[in-house]
Amino acid sequence: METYLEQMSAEGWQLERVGKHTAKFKATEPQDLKYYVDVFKDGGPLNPERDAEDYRSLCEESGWNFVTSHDYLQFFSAPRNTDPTPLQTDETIEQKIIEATLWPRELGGILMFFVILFMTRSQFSGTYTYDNLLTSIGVVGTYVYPLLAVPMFFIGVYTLAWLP
Amino acid sequence: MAREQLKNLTEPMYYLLLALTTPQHGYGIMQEVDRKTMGRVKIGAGTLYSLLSRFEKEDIIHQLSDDSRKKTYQLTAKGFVILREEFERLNQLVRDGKKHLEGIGDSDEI
Repeated sequence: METYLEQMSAEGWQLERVGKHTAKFKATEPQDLKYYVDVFKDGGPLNPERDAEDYRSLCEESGWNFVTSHDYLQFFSAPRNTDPTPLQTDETIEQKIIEATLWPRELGGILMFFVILFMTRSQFSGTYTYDNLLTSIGVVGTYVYPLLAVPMFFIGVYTLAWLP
Repeated sequence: MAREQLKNLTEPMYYLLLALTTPQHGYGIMQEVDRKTMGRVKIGAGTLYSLLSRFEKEDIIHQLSDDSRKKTYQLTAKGFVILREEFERLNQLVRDGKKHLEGIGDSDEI
């Protein structure tokens, strides 16, 4: 992800905001920036702002400019020639932070995916007659889980692809 | 999630605690460690933040005052004991190593 942001920046696109599936760039002069995407355990709207501020000011003091954040993902950049110390210098600690942050946060989505998958399966394994389609409840009952499964499938795949 | 107790400190942890024998704010710690080790050991801001909050939770360090913009930390009594014990342990390692590597058995100064 950092490499991508650095390429964009060199082509004159500066990262401005990041959403769940999107990123917004601003057109500027090409800049030679280094990016660092860090995982902040207590990030996101549900946690005290004070902690995030402490964390960010510490990062800024060490030479990384805060760009934007999405939930626990924190985006920083720095001019390449300043060469600041990376935000994470200990792989074991970094790994722990990522595990402690990502699993609880993404577990809900993964769980939901399997529940819906299970419901969909149980729908299909039951006796399946055209009579079911004669009442509106029957129609809903027949199609709602398979239909729900479609977006859940994509969200699930997206989440799982993200994890490593 | 069960947290394992601190056994041996990692090098950055050791230097972090060493820096906090005197009151220090976050970035001060980074500079102090950098200076003490002449750039050999570096602690990144994200790593430092997570270490500080962990040490604080385990009552190894505490915050001095909260009114200034920057949080200042220092070792607690427990923190001093842990650092001292680690210092002794490292000394022991050096003494044991000396016996074999230098053939000196009774060096009292390291």
